[in-house]
Amino acid sequence: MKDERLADRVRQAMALDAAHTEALGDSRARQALLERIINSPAAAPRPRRRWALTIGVAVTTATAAVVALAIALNDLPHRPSGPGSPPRAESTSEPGSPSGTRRGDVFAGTSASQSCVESYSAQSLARRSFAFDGSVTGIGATNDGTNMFLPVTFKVHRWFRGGSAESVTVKLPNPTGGVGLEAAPFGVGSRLLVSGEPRFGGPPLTDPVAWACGFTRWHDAADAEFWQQSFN
Amino acid sequence: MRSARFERAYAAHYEPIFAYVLRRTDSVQDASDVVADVFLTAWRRVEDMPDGEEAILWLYGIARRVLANHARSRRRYDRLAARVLATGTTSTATEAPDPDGAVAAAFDRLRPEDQDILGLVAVEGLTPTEIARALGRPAVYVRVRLHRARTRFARELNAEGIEV
Repeated sequence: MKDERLADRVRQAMALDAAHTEALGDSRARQALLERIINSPAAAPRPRRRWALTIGVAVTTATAAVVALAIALNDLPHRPSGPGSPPRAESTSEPGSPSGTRRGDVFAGTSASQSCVESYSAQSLARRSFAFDGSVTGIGATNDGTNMFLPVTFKVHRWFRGGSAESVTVKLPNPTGGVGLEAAPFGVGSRLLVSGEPRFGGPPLTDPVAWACGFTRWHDAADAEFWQQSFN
Repeated sequence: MRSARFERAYAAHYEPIFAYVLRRTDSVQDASDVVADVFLTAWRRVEDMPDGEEAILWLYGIARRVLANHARSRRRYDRLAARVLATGTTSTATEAPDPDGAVAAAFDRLRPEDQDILGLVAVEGLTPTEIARALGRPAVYVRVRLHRARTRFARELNAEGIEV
């Protein structure tokens, strides 16, 4: 009963006003958005990739079960699953140390990783359109009007997929622009493993956005090797 | 084939997804931008979209991600008390009046994560198991988070002199 009373209070606090309710019933806007999406060449569906990592299905299942149990018991926000999972899942760092000693997910514990469309694994990593090992050389200001992303320029040490240039600028989730108030965890000189997608489809580096949720990681040799294997 | 599949999902789930986003954004324009991003993402990844009822859980997962990165989403709650007072509107007939905005004020003090999970249950009507599927998290994790969010909301309501 108490839960029901609380639910009533939640509905009360989240009630939509008249303008919002009217917007919900705007069938013209609804149809216009559908047509814009369907007819936009830049938003063409991305064909499903075939990936080579098909061995170890039984191991995958067992590993996923163990990882899920670990998450449940430890209340951890995110861990990868899948064959050949990287040796370290969550982000770790030593107090006061530079980025070189950090490991795992760059955005672990930030609002950028609050909800993950895909879980980090060898298979999901192998589906990313671009991936590289690079060091941050510059961080720009948000310039798309949404404050959602920071344009970050990298000197690329190694491309795993999607490019060949020595330098690339990619949008990284802006931790300060999301729900949380965290400071950007990376800075000039940070060496990261970065993977992601073109924001609205198309070639890999067309408005490229790095994914959080484990798909952008502090560089370390073990993860770099894992990425190399995943993209082979 | 892809187009037809997407259009079916769009027709079935546009309104609940839009309502979900509207409750978590400052303005109709903000919500429209977020919804466009959600369905653009869904269209691009239509091959990954599950069938049947699972589709909306998948869409909620995308919407949460887009919202989490949306700078203006957090300010929606700052204006909620004033809006409720000004319009006197409520979403269901079962809701008690909140003439002084105390309920909205208590809700506003919760962390966005708490507000979101409470809304997913109370407003969107999802079960913890469904939320777990939407978030890609274990159900036990969601239940723990929900319990903690309820406890914190009850405490904030009590601080406003509202017993639950």
